[in-house]
Amino acid sequence: MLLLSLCSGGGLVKMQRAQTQTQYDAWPVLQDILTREGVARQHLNSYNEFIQRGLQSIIDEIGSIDIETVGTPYKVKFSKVKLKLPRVVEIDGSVSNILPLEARLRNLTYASPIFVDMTVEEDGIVRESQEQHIGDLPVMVKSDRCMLATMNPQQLVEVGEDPKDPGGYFIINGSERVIVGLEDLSPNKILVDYEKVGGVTNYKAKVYSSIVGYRAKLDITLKQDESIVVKLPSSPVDLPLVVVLRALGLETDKEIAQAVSLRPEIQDKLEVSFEKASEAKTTKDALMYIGNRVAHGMLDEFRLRRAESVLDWGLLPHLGKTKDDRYDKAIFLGEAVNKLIELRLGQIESDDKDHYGNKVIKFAGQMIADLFRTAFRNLARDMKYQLERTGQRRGLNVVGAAIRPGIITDKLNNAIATGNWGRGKVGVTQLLDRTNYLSTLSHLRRIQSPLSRSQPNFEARDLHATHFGRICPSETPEGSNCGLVKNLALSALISVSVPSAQVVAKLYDLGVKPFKEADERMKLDGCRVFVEGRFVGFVKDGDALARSFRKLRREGQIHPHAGVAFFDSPFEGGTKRVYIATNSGRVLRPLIICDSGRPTLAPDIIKRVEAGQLNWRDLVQMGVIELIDANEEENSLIAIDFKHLNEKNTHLEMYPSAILGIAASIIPYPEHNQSPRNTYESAMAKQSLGFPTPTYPFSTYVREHLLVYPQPPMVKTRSTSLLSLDERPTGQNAVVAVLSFEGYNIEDAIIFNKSAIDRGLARSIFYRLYEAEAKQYLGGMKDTFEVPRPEANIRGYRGEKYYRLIESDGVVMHEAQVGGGDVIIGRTSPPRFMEEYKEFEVKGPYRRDTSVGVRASENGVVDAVFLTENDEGGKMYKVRVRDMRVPEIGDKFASRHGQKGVIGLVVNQEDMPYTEDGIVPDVIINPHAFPSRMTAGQFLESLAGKVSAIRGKPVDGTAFTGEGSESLEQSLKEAGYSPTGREVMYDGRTGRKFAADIYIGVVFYQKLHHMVADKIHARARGQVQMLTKQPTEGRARGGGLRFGEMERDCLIAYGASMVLKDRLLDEADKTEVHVCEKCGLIAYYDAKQRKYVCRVDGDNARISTIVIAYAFKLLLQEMMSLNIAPRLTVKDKV
Amino acid sequence: MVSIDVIESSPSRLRVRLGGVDRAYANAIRRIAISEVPTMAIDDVVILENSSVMFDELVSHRLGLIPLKTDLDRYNLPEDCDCKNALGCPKCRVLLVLDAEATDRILTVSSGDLISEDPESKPVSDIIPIVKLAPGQKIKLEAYARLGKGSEHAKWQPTSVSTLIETAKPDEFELCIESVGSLSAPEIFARAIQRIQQSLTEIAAQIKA
Amino acid sequence: MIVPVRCFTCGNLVADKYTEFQQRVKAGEDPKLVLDSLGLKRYCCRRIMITSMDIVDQLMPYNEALYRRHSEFTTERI
Repeated sequence: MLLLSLCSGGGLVKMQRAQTQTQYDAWPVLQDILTREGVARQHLNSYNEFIQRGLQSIIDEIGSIDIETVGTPYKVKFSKVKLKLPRVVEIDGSVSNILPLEARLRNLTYASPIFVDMTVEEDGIVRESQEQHIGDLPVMVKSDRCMLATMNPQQLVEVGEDPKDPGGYFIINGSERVIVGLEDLSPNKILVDYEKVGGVTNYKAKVYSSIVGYRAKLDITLKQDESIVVKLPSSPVDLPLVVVLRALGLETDKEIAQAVSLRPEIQDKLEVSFEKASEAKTTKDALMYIGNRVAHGMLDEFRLRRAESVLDWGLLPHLGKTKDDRYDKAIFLGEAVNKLIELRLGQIESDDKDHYGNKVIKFAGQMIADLFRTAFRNLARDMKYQLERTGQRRGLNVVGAAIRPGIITDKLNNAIATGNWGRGKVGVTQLLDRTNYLSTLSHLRRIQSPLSRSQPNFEARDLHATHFGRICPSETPEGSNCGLVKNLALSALISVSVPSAQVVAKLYDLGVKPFKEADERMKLDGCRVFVEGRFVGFVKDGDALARSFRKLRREGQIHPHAGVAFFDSPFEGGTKRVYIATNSGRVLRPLIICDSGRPTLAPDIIKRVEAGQLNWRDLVQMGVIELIDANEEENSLIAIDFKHLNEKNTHLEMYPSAILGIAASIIPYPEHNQSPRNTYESAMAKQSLGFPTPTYPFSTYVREHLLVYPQPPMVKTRSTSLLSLDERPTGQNAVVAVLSFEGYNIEDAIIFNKSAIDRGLARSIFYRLYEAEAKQYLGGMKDTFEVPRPEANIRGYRGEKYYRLIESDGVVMHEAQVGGGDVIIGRTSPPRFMEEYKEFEVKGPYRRDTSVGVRASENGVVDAVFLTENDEGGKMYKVRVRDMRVPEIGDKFASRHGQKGVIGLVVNQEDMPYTEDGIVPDVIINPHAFPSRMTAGQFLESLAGKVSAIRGKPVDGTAFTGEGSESLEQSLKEAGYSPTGREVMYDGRTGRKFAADIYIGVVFYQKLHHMVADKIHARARGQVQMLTKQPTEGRARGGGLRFGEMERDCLIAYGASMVLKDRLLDEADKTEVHVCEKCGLIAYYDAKQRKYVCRVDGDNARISTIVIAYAFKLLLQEMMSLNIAPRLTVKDKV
Repeated sequence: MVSIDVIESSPSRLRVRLGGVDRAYANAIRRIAISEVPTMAIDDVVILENSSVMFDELVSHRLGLIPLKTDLDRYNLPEDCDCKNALGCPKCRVLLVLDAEATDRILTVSSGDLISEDPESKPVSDIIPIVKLAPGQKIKLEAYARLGKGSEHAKWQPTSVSTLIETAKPDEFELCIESVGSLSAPEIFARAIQRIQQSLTEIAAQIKA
Repeated sequence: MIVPVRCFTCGNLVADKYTEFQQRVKAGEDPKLVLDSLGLKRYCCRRIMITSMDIVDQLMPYNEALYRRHSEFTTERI
């Protein structure tokens, strides 16, 4: 059973007191887990697993290629794969190892070369053997292949890296890309379900059979007529179940029926299926039956071979791909059908697709394995083609020449750089969010669901009981992605794959009988045992088996990530099953093991963890904590806290607030807020400015923000220090009064104290990077960095004043004040097409001005200039411009409770209200922000902030366990303040006392990256689009503000037709068009003949000139191009 | 009957009880103490060299906020100065220079390193950190201080606290002024009253004319 | 960056007290009493003291490393 409580509501407030009373606090253990493993452990584990095992297994899967030449055919065998250190190959062929910093700076890809030992074999005789470079694999930062993984903090600083960077991302062409975790249904698991389509109920069993980089879906359907059919990915039609089983080698009806079940009521349900398969009596018949359908009209022998390959490769490949595995497949299929019929008979419940036990999360390793598998197959195919074409010659030199490493390198790079994984999968990778440190961490723990966001998928979006402790209940986006994009909870760990052979051996020791050895009794009512989707046999008492398995795991004899779950149907007759999971990607969570009402994790053990004498892995070894997946959790009874622990409990929660994710865990007192507010804050925390990285003085991110005086919050949560947000704050503590002020803070606006702004509150710096590289073109031409001179025949010369800031090397100097349009990197390029100037140009060769200028709407100071060289040998400049952003009206701010607002007014200090102590608030927010939103947490934070200042140290506001309001009030009273948090205040303009006392305290405010300076926009005249001659759109292009349909409707309704014409015609795309009155088509004015011409009516034409919108003219002409003659009827205006 | 009782008086803090005055007048003193009494602060910084991690704007901003000891009788507000020079003259501006370099250890450059051309107009404290230099980094700059008013920028505010509190009796208020150190609290009080008087006289003259 | 020169809220000079505050707290004194003895009564000024952080200190190691490498480089050339 599972206990779940939502974040809001009063129940948990009571829990908070319970926690403070009892001193049991297992936080140090959780802290040890997260600090030791790091927030990106799931990415790193997944990638490491791929480079250690996945890579080799994909190559082994191909094994060798047969080169069928006319003379002597030979074989190229692939054996050991080796991944070397990340490197760059320069244009001159020199090779050097690189570090992430260099890759980021020089726009390189941080990748390692893959080498494979290749052997040429002729008639089974080994000719030659050598390692060959087959391509480059992007390296995940801080993975086992990364140079940074083994460095200590000091060394990391030496190489210009942030010691606190979690890693887990790739660097492709200089930009950081994350492969976001992808939610997927559990592989190799039989999931049964029913669906109702128009009154017809179909029962279905699905299995996603997976091997490294490949997945085959098996669909078994129990139709309305009780017949059972099987759908395989390689077969275009459904195949009758009995035919498939027979083809797999079960010839007699008895064998087939027994493979399903020995129980008569289940065997009865197979009757229709047997009838449907009457034409295939033997295995050979059955194979031919399948062959006739998958390879229709081909030779007998070929059909047979196709049928066999369908069974070996397309059916349940996880059980093996050879003839010998067919028996296992038949047994597995039988079990799937058994489960399906049990569902049909109402003996078991259908499987819940949203249950986290039926899901796994795929991370970088698995995703890259998919890609690499296809890429390597392409490479092998290409090699075969090339070698067969070259014909007779053989030997390793020829083989080496036939390898095109680009096939793998380009495929991997392109996919990671764009996020297009092929087969319609887009958005798999994202640019790592570096807005602030917290957003980076949160990004690395994000999970995406493959479900479409345009469909409702209500159940999939809901919070599920099994999310508890695994997925954050608060942190999810609003809108279309709500509930589909999730974030891992602090306590969540992702399993790695455990070698299952060892586990299976242990099970046989524990009394599990394999299918062939089990007696009838056991087969009839024994418990079925599965390991990783493999049906391994029967056992008498499944529950006991599960318990002994757990015991072995706690003793350290089985890997801690192996999970065991015993399933008993709540209904009569259901088969009992034990599932043992050893796959990677399951979400585990640590729990404290309890024994007769006492946690085995004793307080003194926790103390030793706190002191660093023990780490959490030791605790797992000691058997006092264990990692539980969602299926195993169904067999546990977990006490929510120490106080509620009783004899029956098997486990105790580690720490209540660890159910939250990274973003939600920084909210103080979230249990006092209405739950959507915590969701809003989770989204906003990622937009707040702070101190993202200490490498900012030399970092080359395209946009970067930095808060000048960041402060860690005074009201902390336990995760603030756990996530190093003490060193990387995301906001400032402001003195906030809750008060209306002349209406300038209605609708969520906030009032700022001008003097506070003057003194540096919420000041931030914005960095933008401009870059330019000198490309080399065919024919020896190249771009040059220089000051473009007007006399040098330069096309696109912008005018002398724009180049004033650049020096003779073509680049601006440091600390130069730059504004919109100023050129900061001067560059000229050769003509785009060589022929161009030969034919037309009188003056001889010209060059184009391709200088880089500051964005039209931005300005700032040149902060840094980087000069480097890319891997194509081109010189490259990166220029960083900084702009100090002083808060102004319209800048967006938010507290940590989803209370966002923009500055509505900046008030002089002497006009602001003041307290008797002389405190003038930094921020005034409107009281109307509270009643409907119910963010009582902010009031508590305000109170706690004041207390913190009085005490001189931070107050703990952690969810469920933070310091309660009673003790805060007590502290306020002792310091001579009102325990209500209110103070007497005076109006600064009149000196009059306010009738009411004002709520004032210290609240952590975040400056969000939406600033007016980036958005302010107006236009009188400006650019128009070339095609339509209408004003351009958007601020970056100096566009107009759209006078839209609704605005048009207003004018129509009001009757202001002149204004309407002015906006929509005169000031938009007014044009004059000549129309022939006779034919109604467009005519033109011939300047040479000085007359109007109509191409239809020639001299007979009477031409008149009309004024229309250019867009309308365009429409007419587009219609003409479609062979439609739009004729205008022109009449004189009376 | 107007009365002024001094409750507490020190260079940093002044508390007076104002009796028999109008609330508007008393509050005007409070407001003017914040925004209209001029003080000295660095306003113009010429950065000759700065290789520190703190960028020029930030260093200048910090310099501006350093309170400087102010002698109001010696200096004129630039707009009132008879030099009529955009660059100012010795009567309306003070030059402070800073030149520091970290050799092989981290160096915290503080307000004490600022050398003023007028020894009387110097930072109120010598230990205000301005910038931290890593080994090999250098900072060299010229800073020009001038008189200004709090209404223009908070760096010219002479007060950190300026409150007017009601007392038990009607028409009696308690005014509290706390100085940041550039001017003494009693002087701020006196100057504020002077400033009101001056404004009132000006208005009176204008009404007559 | 480094401690703000003045309290954001009231304008009181706080930067000159920061080093002392830090040192005394590090030495084990109760921060509350240290703040009291430094004459910081208002919670606005106390907040600056408690929550200010010198992020410059996190940047210094990089510059020190750079300086070391630079001096190694110059000595090698000589």
